[in-house]
Amino acid sequence: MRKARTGLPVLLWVPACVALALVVLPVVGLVARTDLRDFPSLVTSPGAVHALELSLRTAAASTVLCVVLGGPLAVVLARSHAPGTRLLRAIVLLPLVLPPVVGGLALLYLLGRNGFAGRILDFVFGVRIPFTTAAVVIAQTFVAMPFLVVGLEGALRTAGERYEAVAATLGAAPWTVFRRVTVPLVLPALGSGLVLSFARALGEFGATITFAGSLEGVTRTLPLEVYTLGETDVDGAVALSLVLVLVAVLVIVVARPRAIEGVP
Amino acid sequence: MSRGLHARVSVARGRFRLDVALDVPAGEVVAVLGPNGSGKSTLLDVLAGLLRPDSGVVRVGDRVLVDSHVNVPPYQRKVGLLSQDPLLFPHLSAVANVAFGPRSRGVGRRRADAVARAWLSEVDCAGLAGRRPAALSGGQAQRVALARALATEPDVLLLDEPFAALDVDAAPAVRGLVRRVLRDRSHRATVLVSHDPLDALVLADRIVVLSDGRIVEQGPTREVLSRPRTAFTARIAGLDLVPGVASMDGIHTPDGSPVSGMAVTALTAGEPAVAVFRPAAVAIHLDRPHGSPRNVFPAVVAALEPHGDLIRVRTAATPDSPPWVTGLAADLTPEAVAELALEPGTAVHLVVKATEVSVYPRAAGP
Repeated sequence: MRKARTGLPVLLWVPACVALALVVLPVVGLVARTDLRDFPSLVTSPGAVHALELSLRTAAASTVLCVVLGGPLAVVLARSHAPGTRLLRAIVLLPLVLPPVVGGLALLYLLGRNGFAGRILDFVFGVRIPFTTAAVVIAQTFVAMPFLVVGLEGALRTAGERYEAVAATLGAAPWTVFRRVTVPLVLPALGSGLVLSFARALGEFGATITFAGSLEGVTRTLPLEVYTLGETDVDGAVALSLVLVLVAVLVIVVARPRAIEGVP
Repeated sequence: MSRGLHARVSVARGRFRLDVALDVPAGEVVAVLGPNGSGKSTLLDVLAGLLRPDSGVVRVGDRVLVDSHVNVPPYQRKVGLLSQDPLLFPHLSAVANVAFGPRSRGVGRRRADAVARAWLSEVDCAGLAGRRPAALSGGQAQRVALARALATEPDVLLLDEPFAALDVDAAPAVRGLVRRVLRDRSHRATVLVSHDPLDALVLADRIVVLSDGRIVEQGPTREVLSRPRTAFTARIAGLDLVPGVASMDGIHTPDGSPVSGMAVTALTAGEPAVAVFRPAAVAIHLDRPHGSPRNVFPAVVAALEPHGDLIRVRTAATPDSPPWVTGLAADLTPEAVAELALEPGTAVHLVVKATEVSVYPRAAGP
């Protein structure tokens, strides 16, 4: 039995198809432009392999940072009744709407040699962050964290505090409640937040090139390698782009972020 | 050593103020009844530890839960809560839900599992142990939630409208189950919050009626429900109530019209009193009846609603009737309603024999 539909206005189909074409056709164009015969050799060149390896490592590290730091932040934002929480919630969204280049500049002026935190780190610990792999991870975490925080906070607020209140009346101390009730309730949202942050970290370009530069093997991640190659070796750039597309498709197919599919 | 509950709390929330003193001896069930906004939920939140009162004392036996220096957090109170929504943890099976409390209190995995299974069979849900909450019906989920609340062996059990969300077929069975379980364990003080007098009749030893954050009436269940002293209690008990002051043969209402009735206890003329009668004792006439009846009130039909096999006629005041006629109920047979051709807006006369009207002293307060 088919569910009765109320019918869509035909007029909506036209812009909807244009929108879909805008998403799909560029990828098709990229695939069409790829020289499939040279593809294996192009994507296994030392530069490409280094970049892919670096990208996977840094994106994984920043995803871990997003969970370890952003998870607790989401809990605090969702559960705190302190005044100013609403303002904090808005501030957390900043990296989401800020152009990544601006984010990179901001990080540079905080952690760079002339930035106030950078100067302390350099002076006290002898640590310089900009133009290191650590800088790549920080830049990626900066842009990717809001995806995790926003999704997780929404899930926490939807789940509400009632389960936690019941758990408390059953004799569960706050840490037990967190571990056995709060976390399991938002596990699906945590999963989709994880995937989204990983994908965003993997694709990060603007903040990385500003804050970490483009040093092969150290800070030149896959998107930066694509950009660098684009000026000299277009075929190589296209082939690596296809790798990024494949990784993106893989992320969507394997992990299927529920938030994206509209499943609560 | 008695482990009864003693609470004296006040909470101010904007213009709302809750001021309640409540004593529930171990083994007793007290029903707290009251209209929405009367402070029932606030009171339960204070007892459960989810809300800190502005001042007051809460004790269980000689264990202090709240006073001016102490506010024991919910997880150390041994106060169980069963609310309208079962709130079973969706990621745990039924038996794991019930085992959650014992596990949280440090009971070993196998022992907690055994305890949980025993409680599940206590609530007739032994066969559902492995099910996820999503695969349980409303009634089953509420049974499992009851088992979960009891598996921690709380000193005080709070029941917050526990049957309100159940459909009419499931509610009586769960209500009967709660009654059985409460009777079996006599060392526990139980507070039941409800708007349904049936819950109180079936489960409670005593009734406390809250209105505007204050106790306006309390006493043994049957006494309160059969001799209500406030309009709210009368309504939940399904009775008609008219307030006024005692007179020689009934009451005088504030607008000066008399209601004749029989005083149940000794009353002095002029003291606050209420006249109470059953809706089934109210007759409806289209024309003003002649002869003996002394209680004749003009009214207009406001609404008709089914009430068991009868039809409950709600009335409203007309310009030439006393204002308290609004909200009175009369129970008629469907035949009588059809014969009189009653419908909303029909002008009628309500007739009540004086012998059907009981007069009581009125409770202090609203």
